[in-house]
Amino acid sequence: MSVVSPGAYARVLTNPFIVLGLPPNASPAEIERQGQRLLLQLGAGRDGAATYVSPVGPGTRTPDLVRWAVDQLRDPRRRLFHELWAGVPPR
Amino acid sequence: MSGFPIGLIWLIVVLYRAYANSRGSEPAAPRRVGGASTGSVLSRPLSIDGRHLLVWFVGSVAVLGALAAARNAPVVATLVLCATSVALFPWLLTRYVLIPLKWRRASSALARLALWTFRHDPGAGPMLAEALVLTRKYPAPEREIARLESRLCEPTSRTMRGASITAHGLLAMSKGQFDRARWAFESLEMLHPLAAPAVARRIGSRFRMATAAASGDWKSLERLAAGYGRLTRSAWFYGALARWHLGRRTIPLALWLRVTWALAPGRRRSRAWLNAAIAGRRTSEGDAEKPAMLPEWSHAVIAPFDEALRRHAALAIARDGPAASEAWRACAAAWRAVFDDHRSSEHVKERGRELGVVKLEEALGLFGSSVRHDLASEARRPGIDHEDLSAGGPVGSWVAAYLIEEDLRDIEFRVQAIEERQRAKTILPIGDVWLEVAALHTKFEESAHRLGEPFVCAACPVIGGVVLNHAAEIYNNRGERPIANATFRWLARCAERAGNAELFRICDENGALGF
Repeated sequence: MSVVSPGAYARVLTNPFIVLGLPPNASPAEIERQGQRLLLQLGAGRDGAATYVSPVGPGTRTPDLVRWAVDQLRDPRRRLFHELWAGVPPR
Repeated sequence: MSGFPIGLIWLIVVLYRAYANSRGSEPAAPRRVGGASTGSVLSRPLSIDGRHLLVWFVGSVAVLGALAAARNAPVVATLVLCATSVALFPWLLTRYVLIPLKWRRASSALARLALWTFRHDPGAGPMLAEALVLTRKYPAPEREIARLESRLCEPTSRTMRGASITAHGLLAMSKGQFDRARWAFESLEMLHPLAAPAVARRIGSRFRMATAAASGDWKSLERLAAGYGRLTRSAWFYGALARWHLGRRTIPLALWLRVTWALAPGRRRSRAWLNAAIAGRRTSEGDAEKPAMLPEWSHAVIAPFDEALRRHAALAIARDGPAASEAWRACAAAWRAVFDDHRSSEHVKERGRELGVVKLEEALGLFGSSVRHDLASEARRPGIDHEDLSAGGPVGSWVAAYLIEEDLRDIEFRVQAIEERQRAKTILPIGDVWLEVAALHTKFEESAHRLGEPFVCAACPVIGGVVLNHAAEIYNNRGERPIANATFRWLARCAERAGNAELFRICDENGALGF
């Protein structure tokens, strides 16, 4: 994993947890389920699935972005990185 | 009889010059301007200022003669008046009649007569007029662009000066090459005032101020407007606009903003800025009591991460200019609090162990590095300068060091390209040679403004030797003295700022040779 800065805006907007609309403490099963659900909804052309809310404004959700987000969160090391950027919740 | 005093003055200047030159029996050395001893108007070579007064002298005599001779023939008198007004005010007619009408050939022909306007760059008027016509055509015809480009590149006995450089910049604008245009216009600052006609400097200054206003870099705009106040009326408007956006919002300034907008040229284009400023005042008055809201997260986040993430998102959506500067400082301070907080660090490590992350320290280091890289990337935005980086504590120092290294790499790359071409003895058109130096100048000044003296001290030795030799080669072998002189003068200023006495001495001596 290299450190290439996409800029603060893209960093927040494309955080996998924010893309999937999940909290950072979501379980791996929840992540996979949410990914499948969103891909089905995007495939069916449901309007609500194509956009998501982020702290920097609305983002556009695409099937590729959803697949990338799920893939990022499968690796524990990457997941920790994205959890930190999504905001670690208190215990 | 109104023409007589002008003619008399011209006669006195000629006689004075003849007397001054005849005092020594030996032939005088070729005179140059722009060196250390340029002297007063009277001691300058006659070719610089004096000979063009002949046009007004002859013109005035012609008008008086026509009025006296054709007293009973108003049509003839009117025709003579029209003809002499074309001869007396060619640039005025070109700039305000022919160029807006987009008459390329007529503009070019009439600009050829504008000897006084282009006295500091003789012969470049037609090309500048054509380039101005092209910027008004959208889309600009490619054939006309190519023709002008080839004319600018073909070798001539004329040296490259301000008007030719401006024509290059305008041509780049017509081709949509914004960076090239910026390099050309910013390089006008390097030239000696006697090597750049005021009309060229005016176009360059308007471009620079409009660019700063478009990017919301109000601090730079204020600085530029203060420097160009005597050159163009636009500077008054841009100066007022910058002060307005920097927070000095008073009723007299609002009035002054409207007055200067009405006085400035290009009102249609600058109306949007005036409207946005006035609308901003109304919004800010309405929301004066409300504190600025930071972006919110949908779930609870451990402290001090919550503040840092909110500040990071706020920086991402902050507008360029003072807002970005303030957001950057706050963001850097918030991340500093995160890096100093051991409790949250332990919390994160525990979470890493839960996830089964191997080499946890390395993973956390990567996160810290991503924060710093984001801050470095945001620090390139307009409005953020070395003062913000200094206020950023250790994070700001890291960002400054990182940006210095990155910018130095870019400068080194450009200098190496010049060095390799010098070694290979490749000859490029003089326009391209100058734009290469101009690009280096723009990059250097931009980085020096953002990163301050540490960058200047680091970059000066990188640029110094190679560019000095390059400028000497341009001066000696290609005879392009005005641009070589500009390079010497710029290098001397860099050396002075960096405290490099040896480089300063050489550049200063070379600059004093004039052009």
